[in-house]
Amino acid sequence: MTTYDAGEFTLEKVREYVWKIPQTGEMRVPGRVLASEELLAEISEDLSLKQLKNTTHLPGIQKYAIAMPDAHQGYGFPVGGVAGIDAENGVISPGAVGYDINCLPGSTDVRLSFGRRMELEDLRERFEDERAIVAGDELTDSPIRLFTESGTKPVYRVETTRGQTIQATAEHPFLTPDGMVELGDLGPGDQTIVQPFRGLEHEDPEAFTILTEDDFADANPQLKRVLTDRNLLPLRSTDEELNYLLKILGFHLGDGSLGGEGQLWFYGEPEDLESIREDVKSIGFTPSKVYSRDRQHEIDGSSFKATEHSFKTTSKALRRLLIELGLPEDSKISSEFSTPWFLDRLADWQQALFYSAFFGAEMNAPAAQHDTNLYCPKVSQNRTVETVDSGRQFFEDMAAFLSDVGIETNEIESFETDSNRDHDTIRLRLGIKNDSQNLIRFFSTVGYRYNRDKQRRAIKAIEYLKRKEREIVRRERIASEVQARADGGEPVRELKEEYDINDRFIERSAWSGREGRPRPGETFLDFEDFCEDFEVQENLTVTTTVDSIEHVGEKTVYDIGVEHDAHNFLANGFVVSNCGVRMLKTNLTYADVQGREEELVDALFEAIPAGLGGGGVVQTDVDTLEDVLERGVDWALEEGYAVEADLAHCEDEGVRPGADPDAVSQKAKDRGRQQLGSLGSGNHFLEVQRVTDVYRADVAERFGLKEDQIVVLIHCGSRGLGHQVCTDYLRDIEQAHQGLLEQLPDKELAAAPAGSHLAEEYYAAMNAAINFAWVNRQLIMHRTREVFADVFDRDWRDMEMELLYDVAHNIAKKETHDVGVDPEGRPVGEADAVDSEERELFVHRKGATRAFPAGHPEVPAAYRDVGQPIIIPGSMGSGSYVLRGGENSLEETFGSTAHGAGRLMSRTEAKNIYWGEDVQDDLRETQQIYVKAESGATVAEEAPGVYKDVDEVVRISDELGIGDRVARTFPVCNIKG
Amino acid sequence: MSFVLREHTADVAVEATGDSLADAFAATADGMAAAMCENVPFDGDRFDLAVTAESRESLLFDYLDELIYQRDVRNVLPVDNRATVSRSDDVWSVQASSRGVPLQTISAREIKAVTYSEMVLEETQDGWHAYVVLDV
Repeated sequence: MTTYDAGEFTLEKVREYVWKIPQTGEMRVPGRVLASEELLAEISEDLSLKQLKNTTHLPGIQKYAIAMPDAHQGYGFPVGGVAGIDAENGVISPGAVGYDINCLPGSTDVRLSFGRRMELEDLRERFEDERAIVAGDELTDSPIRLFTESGTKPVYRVETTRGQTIQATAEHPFLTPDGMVELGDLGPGDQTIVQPFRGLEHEDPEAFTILTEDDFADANPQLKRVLTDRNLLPLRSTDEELNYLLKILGFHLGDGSLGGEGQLWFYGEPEDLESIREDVKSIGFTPSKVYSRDRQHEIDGSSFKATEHSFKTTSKALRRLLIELGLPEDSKISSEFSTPWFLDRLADWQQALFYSAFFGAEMNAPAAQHDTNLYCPKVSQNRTVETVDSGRQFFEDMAAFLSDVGIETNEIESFETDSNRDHDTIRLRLGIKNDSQNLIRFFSTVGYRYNRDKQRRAIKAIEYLKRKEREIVRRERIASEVQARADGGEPVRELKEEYDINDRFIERSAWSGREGRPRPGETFLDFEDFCEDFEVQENLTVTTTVDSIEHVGEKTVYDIGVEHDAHNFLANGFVVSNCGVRMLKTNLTYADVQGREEELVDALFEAIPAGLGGGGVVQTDVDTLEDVLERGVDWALEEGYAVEADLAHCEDEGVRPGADPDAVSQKAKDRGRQQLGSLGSGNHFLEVQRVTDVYRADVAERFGLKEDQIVVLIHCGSRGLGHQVCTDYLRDIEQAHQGLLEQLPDKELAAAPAGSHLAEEYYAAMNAAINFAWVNRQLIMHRTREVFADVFDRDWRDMEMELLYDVAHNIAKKETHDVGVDPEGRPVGEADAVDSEERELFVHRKGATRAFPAGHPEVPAAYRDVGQPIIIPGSMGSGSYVLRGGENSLEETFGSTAHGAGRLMSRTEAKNIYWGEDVQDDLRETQQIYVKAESGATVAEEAPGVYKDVDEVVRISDELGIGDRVARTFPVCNIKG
Repeated sequence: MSFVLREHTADVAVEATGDSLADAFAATADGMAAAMCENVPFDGDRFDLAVTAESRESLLFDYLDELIYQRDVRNVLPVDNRATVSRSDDVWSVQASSRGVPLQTISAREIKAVTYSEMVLEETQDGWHAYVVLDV
């Protein structure tokens, strides 16, 4: 393997121009550098490689972090860097009211996989091995990637109207019907979303062996190998595989059958069967698809049709394994099967996996007995008279387990039944006691598994019973107050007026007293009516109302973050002023301009605001600015600063969707108001250029470029407004996600978890800043057209001054890309990927340009069949390039290429070497380039020699097929700040 | 109190020292002004500003950020900076003033933003020492 020694780093050569920083330590993905050895030598000289490596620490980063051939040191992220970071929204449930990561006291329960819960604080030592429950579109589990302690903070206790409570800091975001809202912005009466199932507390199971090879002594070696290969033999109480088997076994005992040789059949609703199939896959077996067939049933003489859904597995090894675990080989009715021998030695939560799956198949769904009372949910089984003792034992063990976890059951009932043809049978039945507290405990800690209908119904029952309980408590309080006040001599008439309850209740409380607890009252909704109106989401969450929020003192708070959704990061700090470039075409040739350069450069310099304090093309008020932020170039069109064709040739057609002016601070707006339509300073400039080379004639023709043609390149960004947006959010994120930040190697990588309130706000603000940047460049282009019209004394339309393209190169955008996934479909780094799938990413391009190939739907229609134009500005004395998105860009670089030449020398050093006026003279005399600048220092700092060789940068882009060379341009006049 | 401008590949850094924390703050601010303009005339009116933050480093960051903001909205270059830093529990405050030199009267280049990159703010045997990279 060829390597490159870059001091601290040794890069491995992947292939020509592609280098890799291998994944080590805390890196989540490898790093990649796209460069020739010549450029690599330059890139290695500053902190670019270290910054690239730091970037790979960002949670949610996909494939690899990439440095373009023009990479140089930036802040946090290297300039010339690209990272695709998973962008889905999502949340993690800490049990009661709150979701998402962030700042919860240590005693908060976190829901984990396999129906468990654990106090947040206890996750410290084991979070890396745990999977937390996430309420995305569906309820699912996801690895925990981060655990952080964030010091002591003021903590608030939130209580909902249905009695759920949670404590959190003011910044903790809660999921509401309107998205994530920080607790500080919530108040009594506001709605929030909860997931009422709590699960059982995690405990480590006692370690023991359940099955060994000896149990399979008679089986053929191949069967044993199938099991050992899948870690199923020996099977121990602490194996994760056992947890899946417990569920599968429990369900199969209820709604499964054996079928032909080697088969196991499972019956249920399609969506529930899918969940079982997933679990079968998790232990390494392949389930059949779900079959559906219509069946004629006959019950009590009447017949009806029903569709039966089922799937099967055909692994003899799996079937044998379940039999060894206790699945009866014969008819369930006549077999001696009872509780698996090892079950009561397992942890409560493991036993619950077995029973809840059995309940999902066999137990009645929650239903109203009458009005406001619920039936006892029951399970029953028929057994032959000969095997009834085993059946009774099975139910006794079940009752004992439920009692252990605090759930009371009724006595086991038994009935003689209509015996079937062959046997006398007895029906056994066990019910859960139906007082409200007991049912709530059952539904919220054990409940049903593999049965969405019953789960949904159980959620409704929990919510209903809590509501009912709250009403009863209210009535108890009123009854006791009324009794005391009536005894004290207050007239019952006045009491009736005071309380919001019927008169009869007051009278009975005052005069006759009452025995036992009051009932919820006649107007209280029946369970069935409640179920009809009450909505449970697909992810089993429900909406509830905040009742109170109170400060409960200072507590140590923690964050966790999950891999799925909630913990994907929108990185800030390295996505700054949305600067970009646009190129304006003309039908003039170099000959038309020669001899008039001075006149042209003076006129442009006069007309286009540049430098510090130079103002803008337009002065705006607040309303106008908000319009610009929201509508981008659309605003310019309406105001006469643009024509329709300008929009058609701009990225996103000049209007970034999802822009929210309210997310931009007043401070940023104050700065932006005076700078709309200005170049700024530093490396930003406007340049009149001539086309010197055409490399791809067909594409150049489509772009409207030919040799000797005059074009104008405008390179600038969103000015002070964009920088203020960046600074504001950097600071907000720093404060809100302190714990998280401490895990990142560089403060400038400050990032907000995707889906968090702050991430959404930042994205909306950045989109608004992009709109501002487009309008900024549009206004400069408008002025340029006017100047050309003046200087050449022709209408700009006659000079065909059309926009070629406008593309930003400091930007994070939500885009869909293929990323590697592991066998479970979770996005992973390149090394662990077995497959790929489309994911929505925040693609961060910091000093990198989008480079979508031909055919990509996001390329404007005008260029879709040739590929997106890319404009790469060079330095003053060297050329610039027009490229088009290359075929390999999506695969290699999340659809990106370089953005320019890349600095080689510090500004201070440049000023020591160059003198502004000398540079200007030299450029004019030797290369006929006319430069005019606000500041001589800027000219020195931007002298041609301080930049990397843009030709070499572009050559690598072309060779790699990420951005193909179309044309090269060379400066004629240049103005800068 | 004094400052030196240091090299940084794409940008510029200010290294400043002061007998007190407040002096180091003012020296950093003067360094930032020098990074924008080398020859500053003696005119312009003084103005006050005040900033609070949750830590010493963030206070320095926010203070410089506020000066950039004032520069853009007042159209002046803030020079001759004076500062007083105080702390009450977890809140750090700076009360400061600058002389605002009208930008039209000078040739200046733009500092776009303050960064946390490589930021240093520490007490040494000789007083306070600050290092801040500025985005040009």
